[in-house]
This record gives sequence, structure tokens and C-alpha cells, in this order.
Amino acid sequence: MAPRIGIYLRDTVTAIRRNGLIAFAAVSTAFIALFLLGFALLLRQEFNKVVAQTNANVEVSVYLLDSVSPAQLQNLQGMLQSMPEVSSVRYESKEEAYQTFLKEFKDQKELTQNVSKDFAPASFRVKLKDPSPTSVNAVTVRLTGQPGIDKIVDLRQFYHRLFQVTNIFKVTGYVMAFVMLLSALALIGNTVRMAVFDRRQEIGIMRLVGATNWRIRMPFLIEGLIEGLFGAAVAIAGLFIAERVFVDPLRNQIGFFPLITPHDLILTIPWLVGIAVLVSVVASLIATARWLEV
Amino acid sequence: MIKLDTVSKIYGDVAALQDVSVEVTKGEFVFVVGPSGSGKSTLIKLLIREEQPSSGDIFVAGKNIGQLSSWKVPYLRRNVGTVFQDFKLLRDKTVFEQVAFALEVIGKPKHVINARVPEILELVGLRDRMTHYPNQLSGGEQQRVAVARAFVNRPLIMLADEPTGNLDPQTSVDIMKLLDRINRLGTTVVMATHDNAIVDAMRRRVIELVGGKVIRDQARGVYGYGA
Repeated sequence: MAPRIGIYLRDTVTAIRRNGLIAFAAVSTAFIALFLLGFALLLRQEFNKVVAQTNANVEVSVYLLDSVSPAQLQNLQGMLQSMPEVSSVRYESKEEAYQTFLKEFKDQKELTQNVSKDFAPASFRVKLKDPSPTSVNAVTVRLTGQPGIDKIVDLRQFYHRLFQVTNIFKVTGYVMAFVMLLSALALIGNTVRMAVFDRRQEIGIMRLVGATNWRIRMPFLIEGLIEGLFGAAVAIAGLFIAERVFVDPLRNQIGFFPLITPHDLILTIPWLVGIAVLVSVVASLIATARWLEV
Repeated sequence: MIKLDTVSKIYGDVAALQDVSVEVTKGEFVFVVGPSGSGKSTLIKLLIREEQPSSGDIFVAGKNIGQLSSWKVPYLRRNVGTVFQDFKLLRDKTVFEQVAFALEVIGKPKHVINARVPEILELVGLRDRMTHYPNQLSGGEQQRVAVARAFVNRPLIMLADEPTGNLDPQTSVDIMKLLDRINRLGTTVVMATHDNAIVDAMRRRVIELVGGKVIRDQARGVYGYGA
């Protein structure tokens, strides 16, 4: 088997060199397509991460005025605990809030040093049994107007708006990736077709002496595969670089926010490689089919 | 070895072959003669299943090749060597590589190739031309490369479609000697030609086609009638 692989590779290298420009176009299109696809996949992963985190801590934060009286406090706690939607209520004092803040931003001295102990408000952290918008609403409505409350913040609402934005990016990414994948398919198919045309005489002789269709097709399949995989390799490298340049610096600045990691990137590699293989094999099969009718 | 049973091949409304029934036994040497367009080339194409007959059955080496599934066609062709008027050599391959290519693409291992190619080139008399390219060879030498390529896999049948059509008379004689030698090694040879000098000299079986019909099938024939 080994010498035959050598023969295939030799043929493939010759073919790619001969049609350098089209091969370049095919590889770049495959690269762009797979990069966009990877981007969309990573956005989805980011989305999932945030959803997982929010669902884990779905809570409604009821921030209290500094002037809140112990009686008002007790009244609010009682109200919250008696609500059917509520699963648990935790009181976070000003001191605790300050400590949490210090912990979350421990890497940013300039922030923590400039904040006084007094800065964070006390709050009730309310966990809900069912974190649906309806129960969030029910709780909010009943609390509104009670004395001692500064404001009620539903984290979900914030994330919901964020998701709408990221969703647009994600869908756009998928659509563009799909269109680019079709172009990559056409371009890879085209380079393969050119290679087949270049070697039609050789193919004729192969058929004459009894080479199987599979044997005749193999070099062209490999050519398509190499182009597709090369595009995938560049796309994966590009995604790693983008993660390093754009996502990594954010990691320290917004420590509380879950971000995709290089590990998530590694998880997308099988997808990108798989789709690259699929697209190039389909392209090569289509491009060679017409020439190989027995 | 080869049997055609009332075979017809119709292209559009032109009948290239009409009700042809012919049988060739193992080890025979057969000329198929006739004017251009009489169906000689069509016959060759049918025998390697380059074309399918419109009706009738064709048996090659005991198999009904009309019913052969397409993935088995390559294996049929490994048993049938074919040579053409235009040699069909690859410009960028040496004599050795042309012949090696035929073995390479049917998956023969390198040591077999390295052993068999010089052997067959010896047989066709090109042992000292192994590293030459087609444009460095005469027409006769090029055709001998083509014969070597067709024969290197030791096929049961050798088909030749006007193999001397591009060659001068003396060179043609050399090619015929080579085909005769291959025939004596036990290979069935079917040669389409309209070179009457060769046919007359060889005195082998002659099948004459005119307008797609067999009008003569003679055991030790000559090109034309009454010679």
C-alpha cells in the first residue's frame, strides 16, 4: 500500500501545481467558509455557556436602599419567603457585597483600590423554583412599591437582550458559512475537473488497461481532500489566533462572564475537519463522475 | 475465446453492425477486414465494452460481457490487451514508465513491475530504449511500446485496431512479426486492418465486413476475392 500512496501524492502535487491559481482560490474559499462556520459554532458554545451559568444562578436581585430599616427588611424577607414561586432567599449585607466584588475583580487593582466598603448596596438574592419570565414577573410586580427597595434586577433580562444580539451574529455566521461552503464546493470541484481534463489521456489509458474506477478516481479525491483540509487547517489556525487576540484579553476584564476557552475551540475541530472532508469528497466525486462512465 | 451471437449495433439510424455471428477459438489469429465505416472499430469497442451492443450477446473468455456489471469491466479489460493506430502513448513518460504504468494502475507491486517490464521490452525489442520518451522514437518503435503495454499483463486476447495504419510497409512487417510472436505464445489475436499486403502475406483467418455485415469468413484467406 505504501508505494501506492506515494504515487497518489506525486500525482496530486503535480496537479495542484499545474492549476495553482484555481487551487489557491479553492483553498481560500474553503478557509473563509470554515472560519465562518467555526465562528458560528463558537458563538453557539458561548451562548450555551452563558445559558448554563444563568440558569444555575437564576436569581432576582432586590437591591435595598442604604436607609432601609430593620422592620422593612423583615417585612420584605417575609413577603419573599411566602411567595409560591420563590425557592430560597438569601440576604447579602453591604459587607458581603463588598467582599464578593473584591473577589470577582481581584485581578484589577485599579478598580478594587478605588472603591470604598460603602459602595455596594445590600440586597436579597432570590432564587426561583421555575426561572421563567412569568414567575420573575409575578415576583417583581408584588415587590414593586414596597418601602426600602432601591431597584429590582432580573439578570435574565440582561442576558436575554444579549442573546438576541449574539443570535443575529450566529445566524448570519451560519448562513454565510453555508454560502461559502457551496462556493468552496464549486471551486474545489472546478480544480478537480481541470485536473481530470489535464489528464484525460492518462485516464483513457488507465481504463483501457483495466484500472478500476476507484483507482482512477483516487488521485482526484486526494487532490480535493488536500485542498479542503488545507482550508480547514488555516481556518482552525485563524480561529485560535482570533481567540488569542480578541477573547483572551477580555478574560481578565470580565471575570464573572463565562467566555469560550481554547478547549471549546478544540471541540469544534472535528466538526470543521468533518465538513471539509465531506465538501471536498462530494466536490471531487461530482467532478469526476462525468469522465468515468464505463 | 470470443463469440458474437447475432450482434447488432445501431447508432441513431445507422447500423454499424448487423446480425454479426462470429466465433474465435483460443490461440487463433484473425484479421477483420473491410473498408472504412464497415464496422471494424465498432467490433473492437464492443469486445472491450467501450460500447454495448444494441442486440445480441457477446462472450469473451466465457463471460457474457453484455451482462457484466460495470464494476467488473476493468477486470475484463485486464484480460484483453488493446493496440490502436495512434499508439496512445503518454508524452511525459519514458518507455519503461509507459509499460510500468499499465501494471501500476492495476495494483501490481513494484518488484513485479521491475521484473516484468524489462522482460516484455526485451520481447518487443526495445530493451535498449527504456529511458527514451515517445518523441525520441520512430513510429514503429512507438507502436511496439504500445504492444508491450497491452501485453505486459499477459492478456488472453490481443485486439489491434489498424495497428499498422500509421506505419510504412517495412515497419508494418516488423509489427506483424511481433503480433505473430505474441500469437504463438498462446494469445488470441484479433486485428482490424485494411492493409491488404499484410493480410495476403500472413495467410490467416479473414473475416470481411461490409456495411456492418459479415460477407466472408475464410480460414486461410487473403484480403480480396479470387486471389
